[in-house]
Amino acid sequence: MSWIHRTAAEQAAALASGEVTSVELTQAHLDQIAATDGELHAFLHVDAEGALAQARASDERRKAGNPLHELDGVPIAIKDVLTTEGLPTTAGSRILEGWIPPYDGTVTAKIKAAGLPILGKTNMDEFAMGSSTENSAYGPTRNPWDHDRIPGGSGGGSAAAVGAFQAPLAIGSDTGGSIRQPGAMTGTVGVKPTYGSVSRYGVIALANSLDQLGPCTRTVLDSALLHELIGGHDPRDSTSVPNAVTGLADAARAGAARDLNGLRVGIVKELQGDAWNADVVERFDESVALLKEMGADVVEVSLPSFVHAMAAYYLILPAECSSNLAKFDAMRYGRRVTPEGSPSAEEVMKVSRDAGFGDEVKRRIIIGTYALSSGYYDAFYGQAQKIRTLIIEDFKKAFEQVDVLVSPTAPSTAWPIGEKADDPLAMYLQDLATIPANLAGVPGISIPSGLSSADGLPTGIQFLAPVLEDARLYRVGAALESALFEQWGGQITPAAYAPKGAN
Amino acid sequence: MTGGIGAQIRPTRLSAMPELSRDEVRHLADLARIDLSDAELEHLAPQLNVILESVASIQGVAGPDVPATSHPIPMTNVFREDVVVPGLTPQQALAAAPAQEDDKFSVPRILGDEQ
Repeated sequence: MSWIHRTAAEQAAALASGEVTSVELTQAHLDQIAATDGELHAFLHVDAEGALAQARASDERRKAGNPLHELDGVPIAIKDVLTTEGLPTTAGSRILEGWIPPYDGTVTAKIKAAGLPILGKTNMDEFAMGSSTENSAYGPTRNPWDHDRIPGGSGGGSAAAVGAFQAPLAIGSDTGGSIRQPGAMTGTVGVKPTYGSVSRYGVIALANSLDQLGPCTRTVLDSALLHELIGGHDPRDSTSVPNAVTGLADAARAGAARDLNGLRVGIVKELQGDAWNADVVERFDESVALLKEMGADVVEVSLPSFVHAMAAYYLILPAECSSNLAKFDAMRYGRRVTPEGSPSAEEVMKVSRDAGFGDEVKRRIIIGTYALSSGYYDAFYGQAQKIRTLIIEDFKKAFEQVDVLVSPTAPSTAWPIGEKADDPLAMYLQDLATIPANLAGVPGISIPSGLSSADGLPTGIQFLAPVLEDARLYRVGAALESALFEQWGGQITPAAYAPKGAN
Repeated sequence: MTGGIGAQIRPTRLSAMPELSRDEVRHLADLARIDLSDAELEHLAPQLNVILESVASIQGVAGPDVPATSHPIPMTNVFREDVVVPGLTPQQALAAAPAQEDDKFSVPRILGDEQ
């Protein structure tokens, strides 16, 4: 099997044993990007020269017996929402076209300090607003399973890159499901860590109280390894929690033994029903049966305020983003469009922002401005913040009864590009299952649950755990993954990208 | 679920949802410093009303005794150690400026004709 088809853990082991060099690994992934990305469009920027220089340095360290980290030399892709010094960072927006940040975000700095070559920046919905990556100002990313379909969003680029073997590891950001839902759409693994456990310094903020960076990979263990690398307290993020979540890779390795005796799993009552496609539920039910076979105690639990989560989210998020995006004013950086005559700064701002922002960004800024305006603040934003309290209370009560919660990750499989592009509400409904975790700050993981019997596309299953109990996700996720891999004879892989000679 | 939080949920939709007119959308866009064209107003205004109608369902769901949460994990303000750390050089800070002059950001006039 070629190097690109191996997991990040396998690539790291081969580097440690001297079976392969980082230059060979990095070149193999760059070759895959060159061969496939013209069609897929997972990347907005590829840094072949920089990645190979980092790989050469990694090989020197290995030769000298001084690797920086277990993953030193394993290449990675970074969502274009995170600043990378010297590499373009656009957040998928025209208003940041050509911007080269003068500093690294903390997670970028941690990746560099661990010696992982950075392949490039991945495509995303503009400012992470969307569930399909169609809102990118630079054109959509395609789903590796079917190039006429969306890869999910907002992090469709990272998920597609990992799913198409362009990178073994990628960084995503999850504000309402933007790591987990693309994972489900592309048959990959995605984790939203506990809020505040991975630094947001250098992340182009969408909604500060919801945003969280996390790993996108093909296996649960790979996500655990990357999660441990990027996590930990950061004095440059005032919302950073004091203690790092630990024991994640250990939990994944222990989970692979498939012993879930004593684990209490709660199926969320409110994340079932007509909104969920039968082919998704079919694979979900099979996964739940596997959990029971492995010894888990599965019950149904009710979190009644979940029914209001979507409405609360689509008030809180626009409110925060309308404020956040005010900084894109065309004065200090970013695109400036100057109308004719002798325009004032304010007129330049208005014309620049109209030219630089796409439709979905404008919709959310205007909704947020409305929700925060006097006279409507209490009825909308104030209410949404109270719903947030109710949802946090629901989680607390549920986690008194069970250790983890489970639901399908998304209501459907990947849909055709263009189908919901101008129907914001239809798009918002895709986030039903993923939004509550962001409102409450709890961690979540999505892993593949199989292929739909209706269209042959991947389906995803989501686990949620209490705040700072991220390790539970890796234990149960790795157990289910192991049981499913045994059924499937390995990972599920899109035919066009499968290893040569495989089925 | 017994009393408390569950008892306060009233899943009734209030009908006091005002519809945004095109002029109101234009005003909001002005406040947000976005110069929407007439064609954009035509396109976006109906979509905004659909979104507002769907989120209006939360009005009245939580009573006055439910506290608001601004942040998922309670925290207090923190300060870093009071030590000098290097910042960006003027060259770095100005590298992406649309216009610059004398090591400063150059911006269009900030006062209107009437001011």
